[in-house]
Amino acid sequence: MLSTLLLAALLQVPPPAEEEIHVDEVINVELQQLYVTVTRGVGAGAPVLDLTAADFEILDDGEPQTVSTFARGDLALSAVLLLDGSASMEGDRLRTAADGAKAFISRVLPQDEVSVMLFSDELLMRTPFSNDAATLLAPVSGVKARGGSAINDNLYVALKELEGRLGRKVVILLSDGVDIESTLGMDDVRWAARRSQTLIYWIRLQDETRGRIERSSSWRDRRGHDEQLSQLEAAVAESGGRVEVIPDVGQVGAALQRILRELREQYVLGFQPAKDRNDGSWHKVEVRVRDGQGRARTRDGYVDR
Amino acid sequence: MRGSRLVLAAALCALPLTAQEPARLDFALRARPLRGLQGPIATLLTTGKEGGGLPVAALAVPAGSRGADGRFAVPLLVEIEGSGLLSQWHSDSQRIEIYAYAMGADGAVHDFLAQGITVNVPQWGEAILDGGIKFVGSVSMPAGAGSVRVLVVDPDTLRYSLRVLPVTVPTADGGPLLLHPLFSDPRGRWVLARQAQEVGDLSPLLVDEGWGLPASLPLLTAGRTRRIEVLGRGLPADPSVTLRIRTEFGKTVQEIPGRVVGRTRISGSAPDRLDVDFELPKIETGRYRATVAVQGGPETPELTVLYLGEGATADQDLLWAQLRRLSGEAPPAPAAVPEAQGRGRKRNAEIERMARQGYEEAVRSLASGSPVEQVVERLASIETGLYRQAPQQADAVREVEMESAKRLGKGDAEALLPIALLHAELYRKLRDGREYLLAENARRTSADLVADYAERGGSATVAAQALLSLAADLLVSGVQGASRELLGRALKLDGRSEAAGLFLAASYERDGDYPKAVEILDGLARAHPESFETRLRLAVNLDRIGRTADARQAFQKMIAEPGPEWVRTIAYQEMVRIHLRDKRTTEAVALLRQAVARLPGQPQLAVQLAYLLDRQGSPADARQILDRLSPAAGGPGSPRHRYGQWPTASLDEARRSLAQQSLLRLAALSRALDSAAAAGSR
Repeated sequence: MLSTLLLAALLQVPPPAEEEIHVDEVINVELQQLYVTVTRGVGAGAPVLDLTAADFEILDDGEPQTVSTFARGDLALSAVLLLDGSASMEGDRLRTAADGAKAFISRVLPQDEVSVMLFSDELLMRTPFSNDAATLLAPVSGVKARGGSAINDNLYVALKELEGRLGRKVVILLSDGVDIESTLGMDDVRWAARRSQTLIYWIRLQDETRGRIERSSSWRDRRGHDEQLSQLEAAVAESGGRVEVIPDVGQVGAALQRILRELREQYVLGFQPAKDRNDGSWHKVEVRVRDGQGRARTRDGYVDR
Repeated sequence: MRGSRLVLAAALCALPLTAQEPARLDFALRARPLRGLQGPIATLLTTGKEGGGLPVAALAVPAGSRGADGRFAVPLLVEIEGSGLLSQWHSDSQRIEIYAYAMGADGAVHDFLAQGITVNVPQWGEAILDGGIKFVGSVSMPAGAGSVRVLVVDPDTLRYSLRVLPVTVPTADGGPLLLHPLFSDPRGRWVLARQAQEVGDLSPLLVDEGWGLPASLPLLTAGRTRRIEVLGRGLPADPSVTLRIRTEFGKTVQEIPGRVVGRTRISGSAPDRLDVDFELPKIETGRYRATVAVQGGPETPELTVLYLGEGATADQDLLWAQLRRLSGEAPPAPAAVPEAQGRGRKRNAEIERMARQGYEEAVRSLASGSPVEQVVERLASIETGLYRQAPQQADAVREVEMESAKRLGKGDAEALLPIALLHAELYRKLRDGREYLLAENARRTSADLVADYAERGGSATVAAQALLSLAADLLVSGVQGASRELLGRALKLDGRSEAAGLFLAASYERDGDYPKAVEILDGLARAHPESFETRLRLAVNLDRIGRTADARQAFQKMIAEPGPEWVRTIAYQEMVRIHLRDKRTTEAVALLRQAVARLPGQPQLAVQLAYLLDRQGSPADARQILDRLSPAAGGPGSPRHRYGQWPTASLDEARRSLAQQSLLRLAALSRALDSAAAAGSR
């Protein structure tokens, strides 16, 4: 089957704070519909949510498609904040990251739901989906940063957490990106990401003062580590998300704010692919904004299942 | 000069007997672009006068690719010797600024590079002291003659070094040519840094990842085979290659025929690469100029080399100390002790007297049963006090201590062991206190005393444990070269030392040198067939080098045996990976189901199973498994994390045993002190 589970109703979200649009209720309606989240690049200060469905053109493997659903702005979010809790976050660093996350969580809307996962070489903590900052962050203070780093395994778990949830699905990963101890390879995670319709944002910690990023380990040589990093970058780009590089953990809050703002300024376009092969092949998707009204960034494509 | 050459000669034979092993490039330090050229720095560069107080060597190899602007990349290597760099270290950060200006013969500036590096000293200090920093970058120049001026500045102390490298950039379509000969450096000696911007083509400086980075100031050792990479164009099909050694005044002292053992022919304008082995004859130790010539063809530009002639002892640390002195100007005397120059020998004698007295008191205190921590505290306080007073006397203090210790061990070698272990503890104390220069001295003293102890009939097992203990500390601090040397010595003394073997194998494994890891683990597994950890590490590495059938057999055996849970978990995981590689998904899933049932406390097995079920088209089953995942409650971490840690379990055992052995020998030390006192009173 081609594509995904999505509620068309969700794509035409009513104004925020209405009780009935809470997204913890899964309505098992399967639509032959695919949706793409579009971030529009425009000049500073320009309006970003002023376009209509007619302003977009969707190409599926180069073939124009008909936009069947259209929504913009404060669309419901299901997000997993996947935070590095390895030994490199010892001391105040983990608390600083949690403070940054708090600023993010306090700004989510009532229809949004967030889960916080803390990982090292193991899963250290995960919360249920909620939009209450205390529920989400109180458990973090009870966890001590320790151990190595298994990004791949835990990113896969995060993607699966979002499976079947409603609204736009987002994973925000905070990490330096160096996976040491995962059982899964990043190519395995990419396989899952391509099927998940989840936006992946990566807040990449590049802290000069911390010196060496271990690129050679008992599990991978340097080439292997570089390949994992490239694959992670590719997974992020393919999903329609992006990498936000920050020099130190104190910038986590600001980076999360930028991501949240971007999420609030997105369009969601639905379409029913004209060619439905159900053969597991990769379809390249391109979204254009007509008449030069900015550039669109979206996921690279989808797997025709 | 002759004296120092003899010392160098004595030291250099500790180098590895083979050509340098391949090193993987792990760029540890990040450079950042600098904003602009400050006035004093610009002045230094424009003078073009070589010199300065920082020990720096540099190499420019003008054979990079041609850019769109018609200019050619000139890859550049800058080496900053660690001990000199950190000699005036005073905070947690050591800043370095590197400027390189590509200039034409007419003085026109074609390109420049300006990079800053900040070294986190607590993290990197010890590794840098062991060798130094190698920085690689690139500037671009048009074809023809010119030079690259390299200026390295410590902006906090304003120490600097300027090197002017004459460069002739060949045109892509020019005739036959040879570039600078490239000599690789011993692995693990250098902390690598790379230009901040992606500069693309650094070839031929980066010959390939397995070979490592070349040396700006290579070391040639008589009696050894040295492999040199020769890069050139238009080389004959069957070239005859000669290494010419000349004095600094141009007189040829040796012409050494080479044996071409490999050739890589690259299409287009890129140079060919010859791997040439040279058997190095004995000549007088010293500093020479070397070129490589191809018969009937061109000759490479000259490169300064250090040549070690005859006579040697096994002290690699001393070798490096000498190299530091030969390869760069000595660091200027610290400003804190200007009066030292005036007092000269009197001041030295006084320092030595104080050092001897303090040391002997500390050793007496140790023999009388004082807690080691207390004695170490006292000795560290004496050494740092003397160092603050006269930093240039640090080596002399070490010599005084060595003399005193050896005198005590003269009658009974057993007396040396507690002293050697005292120095090992002192090393840790000084290292943790960030007194890196003194820590290095303490480590060398400890290793030397252990060697003396073993040579004079002490227990080889105990000596091996002592060396292992030191080496393990170094490895954890990222000092690979010296630690591997110590581990190699430990294994020679006690071939059955599981801890030494595991540490050495793990260090090669971390470098991606899996064949070497297998070689060590294979021997270890024969000596310790009961060791699950050794067998697991061997199996993992066997699979990496393509001996999958052997690996599979080993994993299957481990899965079936009642071994430690972490070992069985990894055996399952790796066995599943082998199945998947062989496209046996059904077997992989069945094995994982068995693993999850037998080892329910291992979440990574559950994640692996969920993923496989997902791939098999059962996403709901995968979700169910993942929904049951519980966060870890603490403990030692995942099995894969444990595998990635240094194998300290066996080390702890060795250290406990060592502490006991030391206690048992305190009586011998007491007797030695009594004898020395009696001899003194007579």
